[in-house]
Amino acid sequence: MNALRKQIRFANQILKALSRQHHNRYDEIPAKTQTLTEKLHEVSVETGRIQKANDHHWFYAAAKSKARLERALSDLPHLIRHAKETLARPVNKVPTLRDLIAEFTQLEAEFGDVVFDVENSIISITTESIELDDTCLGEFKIELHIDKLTESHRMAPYYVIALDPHPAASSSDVTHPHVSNDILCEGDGHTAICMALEQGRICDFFNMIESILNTYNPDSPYVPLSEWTGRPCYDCGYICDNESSYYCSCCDQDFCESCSSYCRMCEETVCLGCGSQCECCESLICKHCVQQCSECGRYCCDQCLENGICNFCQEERQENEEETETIESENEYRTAG
Amino acid sequence: MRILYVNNQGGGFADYVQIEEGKTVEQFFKDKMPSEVSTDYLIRVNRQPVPRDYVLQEGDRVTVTPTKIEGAR
Repeated sequence: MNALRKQIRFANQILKALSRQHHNRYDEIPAKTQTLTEKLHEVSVETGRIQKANDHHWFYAAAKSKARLERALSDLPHLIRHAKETLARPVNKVPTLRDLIAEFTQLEAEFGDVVFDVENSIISITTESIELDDTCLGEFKIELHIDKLTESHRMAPYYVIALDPHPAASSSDVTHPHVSNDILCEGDGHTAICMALEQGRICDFFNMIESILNTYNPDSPYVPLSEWTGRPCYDCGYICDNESSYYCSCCDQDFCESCSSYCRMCEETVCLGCGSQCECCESLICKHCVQQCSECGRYCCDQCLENGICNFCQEERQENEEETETIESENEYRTAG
Repeated sequence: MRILYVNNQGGGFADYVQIEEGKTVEQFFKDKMPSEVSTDYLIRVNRQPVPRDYVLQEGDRVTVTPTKIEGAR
């Protein structure tokens, strides 16, 4: 299929989608004003009830209706404002086929290689490599899905895909401070982007997406650039730079300063999960330096064991020996006496 | 004379506006966006980049798109 025929086919698809969207805008007006109509009916009904209640001197019933009428009236300003906003939104003129072909021509002039994927109804461009605050994020492909244009007021009809991902260390889904799972959070650009798509200004749409990708908003990123690189602590997830990350040789993982320490025997780094406490002196020791007392089974460091016996057992032994000696001395004395 | 003016900043604007004959695109930008710097924007006339002293003609289409737009999360 030659290039122009492809473009014409895409242009017709876009025209169909925008025409459907154009008609949908009129469809949504009754839906938005329906609640107002129902509320006005409620006002009318309660007013009638109050009149009837007054005529029959049913003052209790009148008071009840008055309360309902007050509630209905207090809802009216909000419903009227909502309906007016819906009606005030301009219904955009659908562009012509010539306008859309001109859009595609401009798109090719601005971005170079534009891919028209006929099978999947996708128009895509690739940006230059994006770098924000000395952090390289690589190139991104912006895919506009024509079949999703009709629902663009409910969900974004496009994806922003990292072609050479340099994701945040804490989340592989975040490939750009404002892109997560290939979805761009448009921020300040949202309204203008929606308007451009509704009016068929395809080139403006791609230009604005590229502008957002080239701008870092430090007040609202998925992951700030200051935490982009580094290693996440295996325990708490905190992102550490290389100098403040500690490797535990017992479990082969990286930990932050708070989640790691060192073995008091061999002085190797050990995470708090792999380390254990000597049951005698309570020092932190690694699994390579821990030994078990052959008498009581306590886990101890090397310094708290002598000939495989822990300090507690040794003390106990000594006490027993002393007691034995005392008893023997007393026995000897009695015998001699 | 009448031109089509599309501004993709903020909420967006796209409509016909009246301007005086002989106005250049630079003057038009300064009138519409007096506190902004033109180098922060992609300015196209009839979908083409033009020199700043280009004199606008009847029916021209002027588009102004910011090169910096803040996203969010």
